[in-house]
Amino acid sequence: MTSTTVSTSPEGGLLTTDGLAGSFRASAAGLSERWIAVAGRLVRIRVGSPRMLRLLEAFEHLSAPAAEADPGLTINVWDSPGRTPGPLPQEPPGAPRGLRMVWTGGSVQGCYQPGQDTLSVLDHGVGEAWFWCLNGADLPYWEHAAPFRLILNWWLAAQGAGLVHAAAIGRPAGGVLVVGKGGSGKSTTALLSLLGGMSYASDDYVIVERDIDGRGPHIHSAFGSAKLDGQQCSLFPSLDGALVNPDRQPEEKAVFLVNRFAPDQMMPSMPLLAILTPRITGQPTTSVRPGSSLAALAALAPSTIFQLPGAPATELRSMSEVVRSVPTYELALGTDFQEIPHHIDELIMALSVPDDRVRHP
Amino acid sequence: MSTRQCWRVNAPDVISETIDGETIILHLGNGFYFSAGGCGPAAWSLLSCSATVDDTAAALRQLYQTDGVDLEGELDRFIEELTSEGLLVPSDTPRSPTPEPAGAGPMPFVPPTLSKFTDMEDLLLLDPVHEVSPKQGWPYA
Repeated sequence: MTSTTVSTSPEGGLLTTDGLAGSFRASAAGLSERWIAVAGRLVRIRVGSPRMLRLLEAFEHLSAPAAEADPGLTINVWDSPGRTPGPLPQEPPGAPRGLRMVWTGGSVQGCYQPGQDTLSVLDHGVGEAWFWCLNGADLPYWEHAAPFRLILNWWLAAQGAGLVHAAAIGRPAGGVLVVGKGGSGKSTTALLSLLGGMSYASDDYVIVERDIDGRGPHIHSAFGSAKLDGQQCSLFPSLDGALVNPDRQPEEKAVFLVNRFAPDQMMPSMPLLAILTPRITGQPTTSVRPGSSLAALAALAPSTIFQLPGAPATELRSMSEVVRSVPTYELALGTDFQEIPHHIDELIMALSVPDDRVRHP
Repeated sequence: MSTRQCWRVNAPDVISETIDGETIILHLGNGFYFSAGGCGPAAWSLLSCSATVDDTAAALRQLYQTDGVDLEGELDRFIEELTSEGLLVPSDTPRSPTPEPAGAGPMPFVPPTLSKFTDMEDLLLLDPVHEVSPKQGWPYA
């Protein structure tokens, strides 16, 4: 395999894919390999450090048997406390907390996040990726809830699909996206729908594929998790057994593994029937009424694109095409929570498509 | 502002999409996004294709009822907003606008508007996307 230069540091040192592979091999004590099916595509995840194994939990509902053929993507995952996998880019002086340093070079793209000491690199040319962090014990909760987001998004973008910032719930015959920035009601709506008996794909990030064999856009689950802040947690006491970070700091969200709490309700794939833009009303009743494509795109695109940097420039156009291809609604969320899944379920039943659009991976 | 001046989209930092008669413009470098309304989407479409200010104004006169309207003044103000936000940058290669398909006649003129949204800024503590090469070294913004 030819090594590809990932980046060069100001001192001239090279960070190469060979270097990443060497660092991974050196840290790969107790190598663990898992296969998952993401959007119907096989992905092999090789974990070289026990501290990183917990990142696999979010994918338990996508487990697939190991295949003899090469997977479409292999992700190598490891940490190396006290040493980096090569010369990393230097944080510019005065850089804000949370800075992401994103680059592309040839077939390789990458992102280094100095604030959390994580590096994501994908070589499109060979279908291999590397996710490194300095110490897996220090990974923030959001990485546990939605691991390898950037790598998966870059990889899928080349195949007519991509992650979007949305919740997704439904029935096997079809589902809906609930779009909006943090605090708009996505997680609450998704979990209320789950407890109401509906299928669940995501509360925060979900894969949307623009078209499958002429059957229109589809939703694919990526992460079987949910994140709630303290106030929201009190609404869902039945989820307590699926909590993975009971010792979290007060400012951190609680992460739940929905794929363990309700494995039978996890929906790997379903046709996309509609896009809902939630609005918290403070009134008791919930209602669903036709909304504008503009409102849906404005709620979907900026938060997705800004949070998942490095996607191709055509990503906004792709989202616009998806938004135009399905009806859009405003979901006026009332304070009587039991009503919410009922209204969404009614909408889904009205929009449901024949079973032949359902993809069975 | 010179009426022969022309502009282009500040790519790759700026991307846009028009839907339902409004244009959403995202600035990937600073986390701001914008909505252009009124005749703004038509003006944005023309300007971002390197039409001159003159040609843009002429094309807008075909699309809108502009009698008694200070179209050049409205256009200057709109361009000033777009350039000060880094959405358009000067271009050296003017291009003639593609004629709009004939409609039912000019529409009532609505001045161009540009609304700015800053609520995503915190999501984008992002060094702009760079190209790297072994010769150039690690790039800085």
